[in-house]
Parts: sequence; structure tokens; C-alpha cells
Amino acid sequence: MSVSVVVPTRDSMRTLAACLHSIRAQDVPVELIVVDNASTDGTYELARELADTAVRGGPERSAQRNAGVRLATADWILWIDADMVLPPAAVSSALATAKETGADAVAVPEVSIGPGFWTACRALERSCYVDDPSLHNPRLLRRHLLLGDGEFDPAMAGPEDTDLRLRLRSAGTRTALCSDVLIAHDEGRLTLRSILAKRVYYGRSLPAFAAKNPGALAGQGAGTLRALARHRRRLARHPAHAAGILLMRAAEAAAYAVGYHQGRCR
Amino acid sequence: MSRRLLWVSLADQRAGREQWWLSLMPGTTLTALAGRPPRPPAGWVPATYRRPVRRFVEAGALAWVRELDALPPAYDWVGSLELCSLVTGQAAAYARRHRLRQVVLTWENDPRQPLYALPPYRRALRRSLDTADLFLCLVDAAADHLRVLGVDEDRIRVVGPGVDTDLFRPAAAPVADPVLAFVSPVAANKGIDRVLAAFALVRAKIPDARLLVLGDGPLVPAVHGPGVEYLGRGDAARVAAVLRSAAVFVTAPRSTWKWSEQFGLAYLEAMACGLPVVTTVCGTNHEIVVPPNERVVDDAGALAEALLGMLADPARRAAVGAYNRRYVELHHELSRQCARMGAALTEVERR
Repeated sequence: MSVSVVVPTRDSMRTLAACLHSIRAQDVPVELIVVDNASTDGTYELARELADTAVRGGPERSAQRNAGVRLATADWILWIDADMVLPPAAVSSALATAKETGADAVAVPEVSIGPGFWTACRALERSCYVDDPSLHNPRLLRRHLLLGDGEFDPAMAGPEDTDLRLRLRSAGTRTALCSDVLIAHDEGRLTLRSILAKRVYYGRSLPAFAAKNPGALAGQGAGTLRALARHRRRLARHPAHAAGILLMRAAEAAAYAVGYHQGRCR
Repeated sequence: MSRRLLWVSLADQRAGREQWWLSLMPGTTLTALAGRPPRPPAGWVPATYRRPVRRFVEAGALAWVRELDALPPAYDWVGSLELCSLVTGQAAAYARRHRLRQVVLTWENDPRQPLYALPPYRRALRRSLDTADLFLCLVDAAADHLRVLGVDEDRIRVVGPGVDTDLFRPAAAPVADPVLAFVSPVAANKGIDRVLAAFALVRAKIPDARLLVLGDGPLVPAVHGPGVEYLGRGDAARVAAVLRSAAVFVTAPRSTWKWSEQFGLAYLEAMACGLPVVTTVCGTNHEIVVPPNERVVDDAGALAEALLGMLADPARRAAVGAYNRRYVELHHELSRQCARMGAALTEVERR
């Protein structure tokens, strides 16, 4: 097997079966590793049933992924979250992209799904980013690049993917975009409250992120605004959801600021 | 001993399905209080509904049945569909008043179902959560949703739906022609628009490909184009015949503000007919659309690619179709599933 797929989980029963079955249904053989963070809803038991390797680990997603990478035996690592579903050709297409471009890292775009207004806003927003390579973090990477100093930063929960992309770029490692497949990200029914709570949580990692990557926060924000401006016609076709995106992004910015402040006070 | 069950139907509930399954439980005599005659062997008490607006439909209909309160309590059980249904709230009150047992069948997969927050629906929900003796969940996700609502395990049983595997049987030989079947409501939430866009891409590669569309809905006027055949509406026998004339079953459900795909009986019927399924990732349709069938993102290109992959490989289609038929026979055979539903009621009766 040339690819190990690492899935961090925590109380993920709502989506885990679909996620793991989609990995099992890949058109190339893969090694499936689940690292579970103290789930109490049966997630770990299901993972033991469906994964090649299921272990407990934590305390956060970065540490879980790092643990999975250390357990992996393949040359390439692909990581997804427990609320994602891969199309059957996801791994083979990402590998083909790496081979064709000579890249050591490959990003795979994702689309959001789920019921409710705010999920629809998120889905519309993400659809504006699909074709922009600068807004995608790597999802497939050579294993040796994720060991030692290349690990996900365990001090970060949220921006660790972007941190990895920026580190790879600084080291001259190119990230190619696999445009043949889309990953489904099952967000469930998002509420403004759940969105903002997550942003506050992620915001706590931003002081560490900003210290390591000066100027990156502004760059990231400008990139997303450029993508939204580029897709203004698409947004105009869905005015209510476009307005929802603006409101959501403004509220998210405030939530990040709160989290950032909390992170600095820690 | 014969169990007497009163089924309180939704205002626009299609005849058959849930009520029919309960009527096939061994040792059960079912009477349907419904607006239209039920499917045999159920008995029928005609009903009318008070329905101020028609904005909401099916389980979410803003509708109350008129005749329930006047009905003599000559039953052991009263049953209905879905917790967000106002008639389920009425059934709960009727069961409590006459000391009957109450069973609620549910497909609901979302504990944050927005209707639960609206006053009349919230009241119906509270009544049933307090009163019902049994929640018969038709998907695992429905049981999870009940646990989130605080229902104890004793009152939750999961029994998957059954399908008539004699009626829905495979064709004598798998269809070799590139024929796709869309058999579902012709509406945006079932993705007919996306299927038509994907079919145009398929047809660019396979010029003799055909798309058969069977069903009714607001997007019927959009169902036309080269290779597209709209077949109107049909009963179960016609659905089975159309499925047997196709090589691949396709839909593309997408979530709305109050709904996401729960299961999809159309998948079950197609799989019983030995068809491979290509559809979109939506809600909890992974409970029936299992690999090697394909669930892709809600995107015409992704859907077309999966369809082309199936159409290009007859051996794979046959293998997936045979797997589907076996899967349905094993997990969703009609009489076995109805017996399981009956066993769940018996368990409550013996407490």
C-alpha cells in the first residue's frame, strides 16, 4: 500500500460510518488509521471494527494526526476529518496529481453539505474557493515531511493545516491542486452559535500561528475576499445566502478576535 | 390474540409505506383513519383535515385530523408517523385519554429539526415524547435523534423498512443499453436539475444514453432534452418495470432548511431490482447507499463521472447489481421486516 489515511475522531458517530466506508471503498488499497480522542459515543468501537489501526490519542487534532502519521507504514499520508466523505477515486486521483506534477504535497478541494440556512451559506462560500489553489491546504503529503520538525504543531487547534502549508512553502515544497475530485464535508446543521463557538476556539491558536507566520493572517483574509469578489455573479444569484456569508464572516472575525485575546491571555 | 391498531394518517400521506408495513405485522388488524382508502389489508375510517395553509406538506403539514376525538377507543394501539407531525400530537392525546398504547414511526435524522421549535409542533413533540410507548425508528439516525431528545433506550427500536422483493425483482438479464432511471419526486431536493445537467455531460460521451424520469413534482416542465424521456407518474408495478428497464439508478438529493435525505425508499426499490446506484452525499443516505454504489458531491461533473464509470463497465454494473439484490434480501425483505416491527410491539405488550 502506498497511502495511509489518518482520521482523528472525537464523538463522531453521526458521520464516522460514512467516512470510514468511503475510505474502505477507494479504488486503490489504503491503510486506514483512526486516532480517537476519548470518545464516549461508540466512535472508538466503530473505528476498531472498520479501521486497520485504531488507537486512543490526543489531546487535540494536531496531536492525533501526528500519532497517526507515526503509526503509518505507507510513503504517503492523506488525512481527513471524521465528517468528510471521499469519492472512490480520491486517493488515486491525488496520487496521480502528485505523480504528474512532481509535487510532494497535494490539496483536494472540498464542498460543504448539510441542512439549514447557515450550512447553505457555508456551502456557497466554499464553492467560491474550489478553483483557487492558494486557499487550499495540503491533504496528501509524503510521510517523511510530516515527521520530526514537519509534524502538525500540537499547540494549534484550527490553523494547523494552514501553518503546515506555509511551512512547506517556506521550505520550497510545492502543493499541487487535484481538481479531478471533490471531498464532501458533512457539516450537519450549522447554527451561528456553533460557528462562532468554533471560531473562538480556533482563535485561541492564532497568537501562536501569527508569531510563526508574520503577515499570514492578513494574507489569508485578503485571499478569501478576492475569491468572493471573483465569484460575485455566483453570489448575486443567491442574494440571501450571500448576505448570510457577509454576516457570518463579520461575526467570525469578531469571534476570532475574542479567541485571539483569550489565546494571548493564556 | 389479534392486536387492534388505529393508524392516524397524515393529511397527504401516500397510501402504503409505513401504514402498510404495520398492517402486515402478524396478528395485527389495522384501521387507518385517513383521507383516502388505505392499501389492503387495512380497514378504513374516512377522515377530513383542518388545514389552514398548505405551505408545509407530509409530516410537517399544518393540519389536524377532525374525526379522531369522536372515534370510539376500540383499539389496543394508536400509531402515526413522525414526531413533528401535528396528528402525532393528537394521537398522543387520544392514547392518553383512552389509556391506549402509542407507537410513533420515524425517519427523522435531525434533532435540531426546525419544526420542533415552532409552537404547535413543539407541543405535539412534547406530548409524544411523554406518552409514546414505542418509537419505531426506520433508520439508525432516527434512533440517534431520539437519544438527543432524551428518549430512553427502552422505548427505542430500530427496524429498517421492507420492500416487496417479488414485485421489485431484477430483469432476466442486466440491461446492456446505457439507460439511467430517475424515479423520485421531480423536485429540487431530489436533484432532478443536477441529474439533467449530469446527463447532458454523459450524453456528450455516450450519444445513445437515455434518461428515464418517473415521478411528479414542480420541476416536471424542466424534464426534456435529447435522450430524456418523461414517463409521468406510476404505481409500484410501473416503478418496478421502469427500474428493470434501466442500467443505473440516479438521484441527486440535496438538503433544504428543514430536510436532508433520511434513507430513500427509491434506492431500496432500485437495489432490489438489481441496479447499481449513483447519488449524492446527503443526510443519512449512507445507511442504504453502501459501497460499491457511489455517493458523490452535489456537482454535475462528479455525478457524470460516476455515471460514466458505471456505464462503461457492464461487468462492474452486474456485480454491483447482484450485490445490491443480495443486500436487500438480507436486510430489507418485506415480510421479515414487518415481523420485526410486530416483535417490537409485542415486546412492549409483554412488559
